[in-house]
Amino acid sequence: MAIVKPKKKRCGDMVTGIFINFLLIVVIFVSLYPFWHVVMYSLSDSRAAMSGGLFLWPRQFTLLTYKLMFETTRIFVAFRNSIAKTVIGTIISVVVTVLVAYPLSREELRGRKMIQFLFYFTMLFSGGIIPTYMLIKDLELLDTFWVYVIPGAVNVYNMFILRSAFLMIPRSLPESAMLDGANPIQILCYIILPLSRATIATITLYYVQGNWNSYMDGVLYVNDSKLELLQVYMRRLISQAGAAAALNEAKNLSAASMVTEESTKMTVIAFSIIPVIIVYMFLQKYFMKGVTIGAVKG
Amino acid sequence: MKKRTEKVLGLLMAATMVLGMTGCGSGSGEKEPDEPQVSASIQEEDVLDEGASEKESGSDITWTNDDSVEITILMSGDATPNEDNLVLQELEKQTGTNINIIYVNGTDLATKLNTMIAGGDVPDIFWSGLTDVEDYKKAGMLADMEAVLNAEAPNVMEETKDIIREMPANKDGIYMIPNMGRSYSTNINIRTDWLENLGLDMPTDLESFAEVMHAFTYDDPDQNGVDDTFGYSFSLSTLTAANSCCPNIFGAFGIAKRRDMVMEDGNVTTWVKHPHFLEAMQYIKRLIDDGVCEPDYVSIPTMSMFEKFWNGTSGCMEWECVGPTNNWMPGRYTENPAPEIGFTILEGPYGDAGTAANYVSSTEGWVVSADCKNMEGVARIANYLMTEEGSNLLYLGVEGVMYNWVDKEAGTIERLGEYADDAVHRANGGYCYWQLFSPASNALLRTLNKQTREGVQLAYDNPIDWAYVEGISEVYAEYGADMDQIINEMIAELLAADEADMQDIYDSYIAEWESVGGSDWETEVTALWNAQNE
Amino acid sequence: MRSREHWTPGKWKRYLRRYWMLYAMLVPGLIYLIVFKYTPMYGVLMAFKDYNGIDKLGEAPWVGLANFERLFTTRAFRRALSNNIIISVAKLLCGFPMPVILALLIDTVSHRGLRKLTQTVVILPSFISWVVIYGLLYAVLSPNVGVVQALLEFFGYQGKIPDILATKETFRTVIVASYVWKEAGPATVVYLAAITGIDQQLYEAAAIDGAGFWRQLWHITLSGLRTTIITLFIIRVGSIMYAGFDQIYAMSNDAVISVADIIDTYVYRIGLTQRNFSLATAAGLFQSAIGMILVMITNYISKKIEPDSGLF
Repeated sequence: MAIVKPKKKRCGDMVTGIFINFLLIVVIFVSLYPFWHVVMYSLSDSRAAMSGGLFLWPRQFTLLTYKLMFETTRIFVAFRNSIAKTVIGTIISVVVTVLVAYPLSREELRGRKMIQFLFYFTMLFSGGIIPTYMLIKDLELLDTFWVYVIPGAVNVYNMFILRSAFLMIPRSLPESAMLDGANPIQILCYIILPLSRATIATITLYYVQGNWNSYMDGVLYVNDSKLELLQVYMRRLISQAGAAAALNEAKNLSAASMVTEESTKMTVIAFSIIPVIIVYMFLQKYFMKGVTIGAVKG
Repeated sequence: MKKRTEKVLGLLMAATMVLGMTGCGSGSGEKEPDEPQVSASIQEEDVLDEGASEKESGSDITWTNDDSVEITILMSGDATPNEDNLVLQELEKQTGTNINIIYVNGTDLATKLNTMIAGGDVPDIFWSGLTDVEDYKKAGMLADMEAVLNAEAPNVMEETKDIIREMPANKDGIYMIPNMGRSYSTNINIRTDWLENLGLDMPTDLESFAEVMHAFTYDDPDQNGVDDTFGYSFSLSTLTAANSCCPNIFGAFGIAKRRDMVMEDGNVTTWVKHPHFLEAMQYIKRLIDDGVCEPDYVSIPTMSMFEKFWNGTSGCMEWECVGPTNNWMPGRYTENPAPEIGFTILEGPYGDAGTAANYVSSTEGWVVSADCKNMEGVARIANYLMTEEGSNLLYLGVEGVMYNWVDKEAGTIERLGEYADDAVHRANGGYCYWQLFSPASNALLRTLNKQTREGVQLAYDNPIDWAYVEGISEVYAEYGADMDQIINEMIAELLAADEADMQDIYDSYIAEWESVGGSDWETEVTALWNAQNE
Repeated sequence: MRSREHWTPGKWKRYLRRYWMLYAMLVPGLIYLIVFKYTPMYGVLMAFKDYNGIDKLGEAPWVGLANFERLFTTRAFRRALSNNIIISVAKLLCGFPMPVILALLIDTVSHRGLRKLTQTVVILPSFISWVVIYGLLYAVLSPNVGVVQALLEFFGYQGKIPDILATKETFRTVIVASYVWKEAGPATVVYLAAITGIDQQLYEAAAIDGAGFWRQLWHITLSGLRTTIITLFIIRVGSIMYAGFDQIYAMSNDAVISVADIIDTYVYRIGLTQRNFSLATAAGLFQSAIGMILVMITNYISKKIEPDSGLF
């Protein structure tokens, strides 16, 4: 694919341009702030953080909460499991999603309306936790790694997003390739995927985020602590049973007493976001330039 | 470009193959279930047969006992102990068992237990309440531990002797073992250093309390020259929750907050129908109108409410004193030196004083699965943990390795070596499991500092009686959520209303409460109460 | 392909010889769907049974529509239903266009750094839990310790700002506004990705034809986004009865709950006093069924407007 200079007309009016830039800066500020707050809080001394209000910088910088989190041997196992789940789960999910979304974007696929309906139906109706648990038990997936990547393999929302991106590609492209003797796999790989790389990047991001932050599957389907997920490990540090439980612990003996529930919570959240953001940064380049369909043909 | 797409293609193919394999796996998996299902149903029948024979054979009950079988315990907590830790190893050594603790976040405990039960993987030991236990018993899911406890667990029978046979779940055997460690009652925690600064005495009744709160707000109690303090911390959500804020104010009017009470006519009903309830609300409202309470009491997040007590913005909060004078001291307070805090009991206009009485819970406890293959092991665990030694192990860790007593009488200990660090201590199992089979004289209570132990006792010693109805109310199971919600919304509206309108608001909410099930519930619960006290 | 003529076996054969690969691609996804989504689907029967979570679901007694009756007859449910509709319709109307506008805005920016930064940060609020968001809203909006109040005081304002987190009249506005702010990001990224899928040559050609900024925006960008917008809209309509449990649960209190109690929070509250799987399932089934009906209608209309755009 040749990279062509964008020919898109920019908003010519200077005033409008400045206004739009100003709007975007406001958007950046209000979007960035909550994340910034979380990270700065997690880097602050718990007691200093208690004065309330907004955070622009850490108050008495410390890495204590992060250090405390790494105090057990268990976290390294959990870390490894979560990374494995994210990498393998995302690959499986993206591949299967592509393989579903592509045929469903092809008009010549007979019965596609019905198949689409079958997929959509599961977005609204599900059997619930208990029947799903029984199924996973019957499939003997309990306490295996596969329970992390198989039962959540296809996210129907992502599939429909991808399908709509495939639908944007002019029909003449695959049709003419077909006449040239290309089979659907070749068309998918050489035409469709390159033209919808930004949307592929988007659903990859969402699968990464979903896998990295998934929690209930780790709680319900796995008892073996060798398979524990980072989210399960970390959320156990935040007592959600209410303030009463959290505040009645004896924490008066050491460094841990200096860390409040709020600080721990912020650290856990930072931990669940930062890796996803790093992945997003890498995927950014696919968003920067528009595609040129002529370039694909050649 | 081409190379990359080829790579993509290769990846795709490889992934399809993997998928094909897993597809086959799940395909064959669909056939497989037949087998395990059959064996599972056979097992169930076995268990049922055993249960039946147990009942028939009466007193000479045998129980399954295989020490090699792992005992699974499902419990909740908010620490992250290592899987194989010193405390568990010691517990296994002391009891000759092999233990697997499934340790989940409190919020997920119910979901986890429900799926395990529905899937037939009932944990050997878990915590449950009466309503569920009755269902479990009907389904033959729970073990009657009467014989095995009598034979193997004298400590349990001795420690719980006052209550275990009275528990409604144990009418036909022993299915439920109570925790004897009581929860704490709520104290009024007041900054005594502020009182000193202002030359005031500890308030002992509602009038002097209101004056002190006023002074805490307007007379610069921390003497920093800035008007940055207020008196009384509470929030709407903690006010409507069972314990935590305000029970001593209600206690001063003779009301046990969020408890059922026996009225003068002998009927049992909700606390808000106590004749002095509106007066108590008017008193709280007076504090609010005087500006001495948390100004954002409606919207403040609970943690922010605490923070204002920790950072010296507020001078009084009702909470279990174990927090203010023990666990939070000094780590949570931002002031240097740390604040001085004392407790008091407030007397109301009718001579009442105190906080809702604290009864040992007889409707919740540890239960054991009927599928348990090592009943003796379970009994030995319970027997060991229902002692001071067992409680010390779970709470303080392994003696001589993780801690040593400095003064056993005063409850002071020193943590040894790396275990002085709380995080290391917890990673090795210290603190994490203390709720398991806790005796009355548990290590938590014994290691509190002197002031706090006195505070706990003070709150216990000034109880406001209430009706602990043990039976299951059908009406409450059905409509309780709606009824409670009406009461919560009434409290919110009363605090925001003009004093003149309070009676009308109260009357209309009570009428609604009665119509959604309150009246039926009163009748039912009064009958249950009378039957319980016959 | 779409003709209604009769398909002879020979025709099928030729068709399949040509397109079997498309069906082969669907196989893993369909197996997944059937095994993991449709096999446990019998769980919805709980809504018509009295299931205690212990015995097998098959053995639980049928109760007909009793669970639905129990739901619909309480006053609290009717209140929750009406709140639910008001809140979720407002969220749809205010929340749906926002990502489109944001994506178009970001797309107009020529400065690479600014563009990159915006499209990165726009997704951040959606990663943060409602509990933390509420803590922030409190820190900003509280009339006593809030940043807004402090700023106004700094500029000489004497009074107190209204406590919008604690007032019934303003609370729904807060709910909807904070929802739009927090949840606009992910869809914005989807639209941005779709915009990059639009053929650049179209802009080139249009520029040669003398099309200005607005005409390009309308005829190329927005028209290219059509299928994506319709897809997301239909999906969004389907979840209209789910008004955002996490948000309401984290943000509401007993002083404002009468305008904010939704079906999910109501069902959650009932679940706290009774281990009632059947009631929760019945509520979910009701919510999904309404969603399904609305989706059918939306889908039908969208196919009238744009033949290829329906979900099914």
